[in-house]
Amino acid sequence: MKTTKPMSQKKNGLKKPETEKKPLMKKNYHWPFDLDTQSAKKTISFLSIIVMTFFFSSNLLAQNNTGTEVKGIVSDENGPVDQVTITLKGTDTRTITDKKGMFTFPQALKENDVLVFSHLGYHTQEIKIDKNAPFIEVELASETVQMLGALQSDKPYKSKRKK
Amino acid sequence: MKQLLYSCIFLIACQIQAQQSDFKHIDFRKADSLALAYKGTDLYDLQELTNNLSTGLTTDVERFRAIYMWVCTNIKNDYNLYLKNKRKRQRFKADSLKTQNWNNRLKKDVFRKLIKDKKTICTGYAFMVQQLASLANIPCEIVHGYGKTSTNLLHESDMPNHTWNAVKLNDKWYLCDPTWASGIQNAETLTFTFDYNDGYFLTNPELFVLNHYPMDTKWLLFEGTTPAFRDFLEAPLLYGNAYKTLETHHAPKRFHNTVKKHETVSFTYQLQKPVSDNTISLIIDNGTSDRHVSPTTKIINQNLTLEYQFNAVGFYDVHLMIGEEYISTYTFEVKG
Repeated sequence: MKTTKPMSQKKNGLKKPETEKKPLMKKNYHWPFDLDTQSAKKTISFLSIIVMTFFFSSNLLAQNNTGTEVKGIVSDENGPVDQVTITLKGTDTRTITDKKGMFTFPQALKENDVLVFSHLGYHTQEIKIDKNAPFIEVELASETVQMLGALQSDKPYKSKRKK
Repeated sequence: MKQLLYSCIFLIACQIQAQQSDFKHIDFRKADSLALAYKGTDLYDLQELTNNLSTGLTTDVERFRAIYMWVCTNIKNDYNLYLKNKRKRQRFKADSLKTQNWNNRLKKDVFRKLIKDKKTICTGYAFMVQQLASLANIPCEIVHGYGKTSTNLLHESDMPNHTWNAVKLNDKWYLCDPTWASGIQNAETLTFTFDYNDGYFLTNPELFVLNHYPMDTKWLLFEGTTPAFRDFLEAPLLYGNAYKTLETHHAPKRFHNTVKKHETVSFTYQLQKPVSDNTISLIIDNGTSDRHVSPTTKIINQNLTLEYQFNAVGFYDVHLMIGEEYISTYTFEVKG
């Protein structure tokens, strides 16, 4: 009985303006419309609080699931770097930086998610997501490497001889 | 105690044989066909390329094979860049700061060109293999050092000139050279021809060291006594074809040899696969003319031994030939 009551009260609340306009027709009303307005008001506000609580808490939960949108810029000592691959560690989700070195990660991220920044010729860098800092600035360090090239040759060797 | 020593030696010997034959039971055709299927893919999304090249492959060695094969068959040598780099390096040889500045400038160029035009010099090849391997979670290192070829017999004072890779598969390191495996650059016509040489994939370190000497000797992958840089400089000259047929090279140990008139010289090799002995010959070049000779040839358990007697005083270039292909070169000074 207790559970059905509040639900029906709500219906009453909706009909309320109608009942006030036509008080004479009261005898045609059946339960639950013949309840007194005082208690109806109380239960409605109680109900709305519950509904609101649920609404907000579910909203919070949803926010936990979707996380924060992460944006950022990648550069090296000379300025922005394009074509940097940014991968969410342990997944296949990734994006690349544009001409200005900017990116927006396609999936909202949670605290402690790790983004991996990689580009040919640079040291790969990992960045942990901080919920309070959704804009990431990454400076890639280029690999200290010597550029070398020796050609393969199939030309038969010939000794240089003194004539 | 002796037994222990022997078993140690045996284990060391096994360690040294870190090479493609460790994976004899694996058929690389699947990996190779994946590399072929993604031929021409651009380099803008390396993760996707790596994922594609790993499709349906279960072992690290197969996944690495697909990556390596893809790099070897899709990346061209950039001859102009090679020449430019060689020139600049030569010019700045004495000035390390200038070399460094040049290197930094070049680096950007190399990677930009590599991604855009799929053209590069050795370091770019090695980088590409390493990058793709690391995206596939396979430990892979870039190795800098000296590469010796018939047109560049190195000297003590030379700077490192070559780059290749070491890769860890099943907890063991292996060597490979994607640059030299990919093809041949014709210095006269300036054209690059893709001509994949499987001999540079997980090569026996004992053979590899004859024309690859790393700056960091740990990448020789030798257990126990490692060959010195001097040994490398004095080693015989091998051609790319040697990697297709030889497992190891035993003798002569040096490129330059001095022998007495009528002395018999032995040439010994371990072959990778059976070779018919009538295809084996030597070319003896005395500077004015060369002639094909068929020395006494013995093949036992793919162990090849040639014996040749020098009967005339002189200075000779001696080439080992299998069929029409040059395998190795030595010089002999025959004294009376």
